[in-house]
Amino acid sequence: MLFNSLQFAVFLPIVFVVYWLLRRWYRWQNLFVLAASYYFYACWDPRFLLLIVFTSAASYASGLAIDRMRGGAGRWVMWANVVVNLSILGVFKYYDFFVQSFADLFLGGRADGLLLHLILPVGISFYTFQALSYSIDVYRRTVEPTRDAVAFFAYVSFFPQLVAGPIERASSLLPQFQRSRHFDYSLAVDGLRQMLWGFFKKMIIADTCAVYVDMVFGNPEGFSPSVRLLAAVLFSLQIYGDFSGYSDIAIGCSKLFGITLRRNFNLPYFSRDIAEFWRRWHISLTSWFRDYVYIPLGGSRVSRWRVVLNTFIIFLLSGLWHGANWTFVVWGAYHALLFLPLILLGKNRSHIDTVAAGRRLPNIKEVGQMLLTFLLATVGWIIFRSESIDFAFNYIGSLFRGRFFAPSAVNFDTAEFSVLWIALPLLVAEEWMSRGRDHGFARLPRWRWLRWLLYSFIIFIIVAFMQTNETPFIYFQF
Amino acid sequence: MKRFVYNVLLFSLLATCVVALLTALLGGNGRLRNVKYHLGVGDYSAWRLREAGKTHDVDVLFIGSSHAYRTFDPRFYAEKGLSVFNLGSSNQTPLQTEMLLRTYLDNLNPRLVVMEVHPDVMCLDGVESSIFLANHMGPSFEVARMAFAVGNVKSVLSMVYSASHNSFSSELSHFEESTADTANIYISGGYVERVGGTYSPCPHPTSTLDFSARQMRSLRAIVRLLKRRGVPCLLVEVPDTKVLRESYENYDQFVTQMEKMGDFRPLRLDALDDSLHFYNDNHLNQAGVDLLEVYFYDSVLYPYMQEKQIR
Repeated sequence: MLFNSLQFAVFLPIVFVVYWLLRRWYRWQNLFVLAASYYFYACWDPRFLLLIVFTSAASYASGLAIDRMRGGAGRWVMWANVVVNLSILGVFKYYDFFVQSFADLFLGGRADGLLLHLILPVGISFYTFQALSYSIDVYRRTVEPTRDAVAFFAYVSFFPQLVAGPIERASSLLPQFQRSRHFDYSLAVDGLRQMLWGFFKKMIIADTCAVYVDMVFGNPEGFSPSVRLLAAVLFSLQIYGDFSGYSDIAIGCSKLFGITLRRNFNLPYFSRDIAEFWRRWHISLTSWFRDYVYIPLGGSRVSRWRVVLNTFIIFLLSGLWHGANWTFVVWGAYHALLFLPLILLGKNRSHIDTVAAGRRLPNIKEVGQMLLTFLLATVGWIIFRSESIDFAFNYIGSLFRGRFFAPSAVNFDTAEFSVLWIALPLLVAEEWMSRGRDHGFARLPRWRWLRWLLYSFIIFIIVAFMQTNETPFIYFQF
Repeated sequence: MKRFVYNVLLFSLLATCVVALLTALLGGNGRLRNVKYHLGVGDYSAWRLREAGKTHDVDVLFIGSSHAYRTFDPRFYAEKGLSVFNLGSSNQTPLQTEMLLRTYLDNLNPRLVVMEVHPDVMCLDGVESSIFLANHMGPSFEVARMAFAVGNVKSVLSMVYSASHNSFSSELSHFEESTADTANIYISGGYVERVGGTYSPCPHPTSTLDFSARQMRSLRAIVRLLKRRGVPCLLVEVPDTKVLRESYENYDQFVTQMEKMGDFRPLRLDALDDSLHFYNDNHLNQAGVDLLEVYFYDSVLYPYMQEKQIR
């Protein structure tokens, strides 16, 4: 079930009403949320519910066991849970990739009998990491183990963030399932507002850019370098609109249920260097790798060369987390390389504030820094978007070959993208004005009717220009 | 909580009005991606619908997709002493047929309805045809119901724009379309004659028919509607090329489903040749029509009318 589907438009109000009818009995609410979440997931493929149940059960049991054993034995239980969960992830997501890569290197590419050809369960990387963080936190004693199985299972499978995050921590989400929730009018209204902004980013920005991007990336030779560059820029906007739009919908949707999720995107394209970009892009994943990989490896409190090594490790792992393809690994390595000078010069924390804080507009230097960071990120997105490393390097090389503004061999209907003339300035202006706030649409006119007219106008833009075919979210494949 | 629900409902009402108003104001000239408005796009619906509004009390009403309006020629039936009208339109699915019957049934008052059904059409979503008919009809409850039943933003927004545009402008009422082009001639009574044309068929890759549950429901509703009105309904499947027919892996399922719906007759005529009697995979040329009409009248329609005591 996609957020941008008619099915979800029916599902959400029903779940919302029943959930709040049960408000006096929070355990029944949890049970209902769990059932709704499993139904939500089963709409893709009910077979993979078994995996979520198993992952949840293994982490729940390991939490209790770690608490009972403490010390060395608890450590073994924690590691056993990590190994079991990562093995499941490894088999479903990486087995074929590594076997094929091995075969390419040593067997002349012949791996037919060895491949499993398994379907990748939707959201497996997200809920596996969420479940893993619980048992690690219990072992570290930063979280108390829970005996409330329903609350824990609901924590792992809470439907708004089940298939594409944000990757939550037990310390913030689990306690919310362990106490009664009260309907908060302001929170619910804010949730709807955030959802609307998320739908705008997904259904207008991302989906419209996707039409152009798919066409150009599908046949780059048919287009001039200027069109290829534009497609790369539009892919940067597509992936941002798609994933941050999903996150906004997920976070907004949770607010309707009185549950707050962590922020996943904080205006990454207003970053002044790549370190700031990574503090603002997919925050829940970046902080997961920081807390569970980077810091245990010594973090930044080791020698400078070790810091460099640690940085490479987390970027390569982060790349691999996105998918079983060498392009993602190279994408991770590319970002690690961009990070390198900042670490060596000790400037990786130069920009921890908000750009142009207290001012309406950025200065020239900040504009230059933001444009350069965006350009560097865009080169990375070309690698990310490509089917193979060869394709990525050819695409990047092709930006510098031939006449930059040569007429394209392939014609396309520019009317399809006309909405971007309105939507992109609206996106940039609204996000710029939302700096220092939780999400777009957080600062609006005081008069209710004016606000409602503005929301109605956004809804009009969405329905008048949305793609009418099914457009899944990019991050579902991870 | 009550305040929240109340405000959400109030806002939904406002948003619906704003969307409808902006669609009506801005929908023309292809400005909005999901609003389509274009009169006269090749199947002569403007003529047909105008004629349907003025025609009364026919013996037989033919209805369905382009297979209908390119197969059942009123001139042939007039020679047999039957008054007929052909209310087919391009890609017309049961969702549109239902709307057309609810709109024109009283007026046309047929003694028999012959509804053309086709396996491909039963798999369509009906968006294209719903937009097309909404463009060519005035605002009505039935058109709105059809647009919502299709369940696609494009069909709803196009219906909203068409309804407002056709109410406040005379474009539709003054629209004059030529009754002929180089390959087609519109014949009074709803039929479109193909001028010449033969075909070089080539094998199709096999395909599995995925019937739309919505279209099946609508077809059942049509059969119920006609039964309530006491009008016999004959479901027919017009022939298409053998190469196309052989490409359907689960064609038998279609036959089974149609037989469950009511009186179903797949029209099979061995004399039809893929090259000589068709101008494409789906449609007969006039030579094919002339052959089929005789077979259909003698072997299917006349016996059926006698069985139902229509003549």
